[in-house]
Formats: sequence, C-alpha cells, structure tokens
Amino acid sequence: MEERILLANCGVIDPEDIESYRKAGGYKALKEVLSAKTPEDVIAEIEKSGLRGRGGAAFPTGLKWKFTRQAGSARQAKEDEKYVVCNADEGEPGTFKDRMLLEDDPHLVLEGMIIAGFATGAQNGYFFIRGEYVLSISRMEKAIEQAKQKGLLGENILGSGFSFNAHVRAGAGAYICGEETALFAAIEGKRGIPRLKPPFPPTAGLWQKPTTINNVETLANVPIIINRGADWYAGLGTESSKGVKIFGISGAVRSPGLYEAPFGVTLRHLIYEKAGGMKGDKPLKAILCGGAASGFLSSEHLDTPVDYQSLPPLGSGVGSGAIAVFAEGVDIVDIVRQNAGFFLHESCGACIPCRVGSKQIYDILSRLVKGQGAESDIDLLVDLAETMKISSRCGLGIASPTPVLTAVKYFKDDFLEKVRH
Amino acid sequence: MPEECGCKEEKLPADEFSPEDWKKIDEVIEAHREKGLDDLLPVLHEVQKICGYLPASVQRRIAAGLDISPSTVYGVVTFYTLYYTKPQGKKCLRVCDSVTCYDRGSKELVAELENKLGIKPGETTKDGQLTLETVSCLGACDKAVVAMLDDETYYNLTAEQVSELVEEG
Ligand SMILES: Cc1cc2nc3c(=O)[nH]c(=O)nc-3n(C[C@H](O)[C@H](O)[C@H](O)COP(=O)(O)O)c2cc1C
Ligand code: SF4
Ligand code: FES
Repeated sequence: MEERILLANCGVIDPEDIESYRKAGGYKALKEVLSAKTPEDVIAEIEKSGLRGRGGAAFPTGLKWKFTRQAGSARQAKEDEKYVVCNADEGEPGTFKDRMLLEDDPHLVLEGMIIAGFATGAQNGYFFIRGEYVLSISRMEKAIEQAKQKGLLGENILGSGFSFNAHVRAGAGAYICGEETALFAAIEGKRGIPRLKPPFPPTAGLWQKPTTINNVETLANVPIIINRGADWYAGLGTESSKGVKIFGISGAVRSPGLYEAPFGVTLRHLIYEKAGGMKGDKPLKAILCGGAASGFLSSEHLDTPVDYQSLPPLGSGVGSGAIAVFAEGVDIVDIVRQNAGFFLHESCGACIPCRVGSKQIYDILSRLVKGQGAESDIDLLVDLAETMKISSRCGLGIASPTPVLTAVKYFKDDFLEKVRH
Repeated sequence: MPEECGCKEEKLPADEFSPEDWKKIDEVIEAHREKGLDDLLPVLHEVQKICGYLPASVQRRIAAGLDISPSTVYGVVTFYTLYYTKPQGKKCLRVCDSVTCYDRGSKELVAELENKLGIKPGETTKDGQLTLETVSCLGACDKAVVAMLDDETYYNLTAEQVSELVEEG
C-alpha cells in the first residue's frame, strides 16, 4: 500500500484528544515555524511546494498568502486587522473529503490555519463549517478548546509573541456560501449573496479586511509541507500539478471511498485499482469528474492523468477531487437534469443569467427526459449554457453549465435518443 | 430601535411559547447583543433550538434585541434552508437526492417514504411527528444512499431500511 500522507491520521488517532495528535507529530510544524522562521520564510516555503487551493479554483496558496501579507503594509501593517478563513462549507455534490479531515483529524487543519495566520499577519481565524456537519462542528470546537489550553492558540503562542484566536461558525444551509465572498456575507450575518470581484479577499475580504480564505484540504497540507519540506512535496505529482490530492470516488464502483494519490494518476488507476473497479463488472458509462459543477467524461478518457493541465482541455477539471462513476444503463440525461435541479435550487438569484438560465436549463432537460423535447432543444440548451458561462456574476453561474455542455458533447446520442419519438 | 410596522401579522396561538421559552430566547439575544448583526446566524441557530422554528413574533424579538430591522432578519431567515418559518415535525428526515445518491436509488427511497407517510418532501405528517425533506449532498457519497434523522446520519440505506427507521421513529 502506498504511504498515506494527508489521511495518515484519519481513523488512527483519537480526533478528540490533542495528545493523540501530538504523539503522531502534531504541532511540530507550528513550533518550528514560531521558533525558527519569519512569515516571509513560511510563504516562500509554501510557494516553493507548488501547493494550489484544493477548494476548486486551484489558486497558488503561497501567492494568496503573500498578497494578504502585503495588503495594507504600506500603511501600518501591525495595526491592521486581518483574517484567515477556512472554507469548510463543503457542499459540492460528490465531495466528501473535508468532512473526513474535520471529523478525523481536526488538529491538522487547525495547525494549518494557525500557520497561515502567522504567515499572513492575521489575528483571527474563522472556520465556516456547513450546518449539516454536526460532528465536524463539535470536533473543531473541541480542538480549538484543547489547543487554547495548551497555549497553542490565544495570546503569545508558545512565547513567540504571536497571538491568534480561532472561531467556529456554522452555516445554515446554502451551497452558495461556499463561494468565498458569499461566505464572508454569511459570517457577517447577512444573506449569502456573492460580491463582485475585484476587490479580491486578500485586499478586502471578511468585514472588508485583508483575508486569506483556504479550503480545509489546502490547510491540511500546510503542516505536512513544513515538516517534510517543500522540495519533498514538490517532488510528488507532475510539473504542472505538484503534491498529493484526496479523491472521493463514489457511485457504481466496488469500493467507493476516499483515496489519496499524487497528481498525474490516471482515472483508470483511481477507479479500477483504488476503488476496486466497477460494481458487478458493468461497463463504465460516465464519470462526473471534479464535482457537480465540473465536467462529465466518458470511458474514452480513462487514461487521462488527473491534473490541472490534462483535464481542462476536455471540458472537465480536478475541482474538489470528486469522482462520481456511472455504469452503462444509467439515464444520463436524467442525471444531468437532477444535477441541474440542484443548481436551480442553489442559485442565489442576484444576477439574471444564472437565475433565469438555471430555470430554463432545468425545464428543457425535464422536457427531454419526459420525451417531450425537440432536437432544437439541445441547441437551445448549449446556447443557454454558453451564455451563462460568460455572463454570470459568480462561479456558480459560470461553472454550473459545465456538466450540461460536457454531457451533450460526450453523450450526444443519449440526448438525440430522447427526441426521437 | 426599529418601529413596529402596521402590516398584519399571522395569528399565532397566544400560548405557543411559554414564558420560560421567551426567557431563554431573551437570554440568547442578550448574550449576542453587543455583536448585533454579526451574530445573527448563531442567534438564529440557538433560538431555533428553543422554538423549533422562527415565526414572525420571534424574528421581531431578535430584530429588536440586536438592533437591526425586522426585514433584515426575515431576509436572512428565508435565505437559508436550515431556518424554518413554519412549525416542523418532532423529527426531521432529510434524504440526499444529489447525483450519487440519486443514481444509487434515493428516488425509489423517497417514493417509498411518500407512500408510507402519505406526504411529499417538504411536508409534515398529520400527527406532527415527522417532516420529510430531500436535501443536497450530505458529504458521505461513498455510502450512498445517505439520510439524516435529526442530527444522526444513516448510510447505505435501502427503501426497506428507511421504512424501518421511520417506524422506529
Ligand atoms: C458556488 C461555489 C461554491 C464553492 N464551494 C466551496 C466549498 O464548499 N469549499 C471550498 O473550499 N471552496 C468552495 N468554493 C471555492 C471558493 O470560492 C474559494 O475559491 C476557495 O475556498 C479558496 O480556497 P483554496 O484556494 O484553498 O481552494 C466554491 C466556489 C463557488 C463559486
Ligand atoms: S451566478 Fe448565480 S449564484 Fe452567482 S451571483 Fe449570479 S445568481 Fe447568484
Ligand atoms: S450525493 Fe448523497 S451524500 Fe453526496
């Protein structure tokens, strides 16, 4: 078995006991950072590791931290409030990795956040955790409490002069709050409506203050990189996509679950080796790769390496690392319709292309599924999807047409089947 | 302090919440008063735990206590799906109907429940015991079909098992 890196502690240590985490080497990275490194050193190390955001957008993490560190430094940087926010609003259908990290290894994520706070010059951090993740919320609250007691949070951490506090906020059931600016609005007590960007969070984030927002898995990588070094980390994966990634494989496979692998691993390896192949040896029909707002692929694409370079030309992406597998016999148009129903429900309604487009796309797909559509409906579908992509305000409206477009591209016959009556 | 508006409010049974409940509600508000709007979401979570839902009378109390407008509170309550403006069943069963669970049989499972309970998702049984909802991905797709009964998550559910779950209550 390959070495587990990010999931090494999951199911092994007691997530409710800080000593259990420490015995596994926990909080060593934080100690090292506070005693021997400057914030600039830490940022340089993360930059060198090649770590990119694991929340979907894949922005280079070191660069994000640097922007936040530099924000306001022309003025008196010391007085300026800054924040670190951990995006734990995991709600992308097919995605279940952050929940595991939060439930089974909360201190790893917390340690990552404290280091991010030190590097960016923040004084406070927020975990915004999905309201439905009841256990994740209580585990993180407990982790924060224990870290405080051990002097790893609060005033003058480990005598370093650096002070940092962490807080948990529970979401209230809105997928759109995973979008970073909508998430800030939710913490601020408002409706989760995305703001226009720019300004970006490192300039004006939570309460308009410079903010670094990182995904749970992104922060979980941080202590590991500090402990084992950027060079080691960058040696994993491929040139364009460094390091390891957690993949959540679900659906028509024998052993669905979370598997980690270096970038560049093929879909075939993930599905047929890691997840044990297709349940009942059925032929594979489709893969929804990267999450519900990413693209469908077909069995032709099984030998594609999963990385930031290979998937986008196919209309898909690494996204959250979700890999939902569908077997031959599935009604793919109905799956696309059901998925579109999710985005129709979750569209916040602030901009017209997404609000109206999501509804029209859902209605057309429903027509097609019922056998009441015409061939021209398929063109209309593509036209609407393209329009949404270029004119929506936030990532939801920009990305949610992707599964529709890729399904039409790779499973055109299934769509045509629906209109031949 | 925002003025009372003149519009007609839904009539509620006068004794819906006991004086003790109101006292608890006020205590929650008091603890967050200083933070005002910033703490609106945590306040709504805590108050809903006391009341079971957030009717207009409660929303107004919160608005006054946090010194924000009732429309702000109403806007937030109605934006998020975990806040309720109508009374809910004693228990709530949430069945995931996102892609993987849908492919693995949540549709059939929901049909079975509709049949058995005589209600559709979003509705509550006549005896007020159970509210049925379909919800999006609960983050356990490897164990589809997934459902939550209140705060407890259930995995790898079949139509049969979910029937039993509902019977046990
Ligand atoms: C509709 C929508 C939902 C999102 N949901 C999440 C989410 O649940 N978790 C997450 O980490 N990022 C999510 N993102 C991406 C965030 O906006 C943001 O890019 C991310 O938190 C940045 O962290 P990273 O750089 O570490 O990936 C979402 C984006 C959009 C547009
Ligand atoms: S794209 Fe959709 S979710 Fe995003 S702001 Fe517009 S309506 Fe809201
Ligand atoms: S799709 Fe049902 S738990 Fe994720």
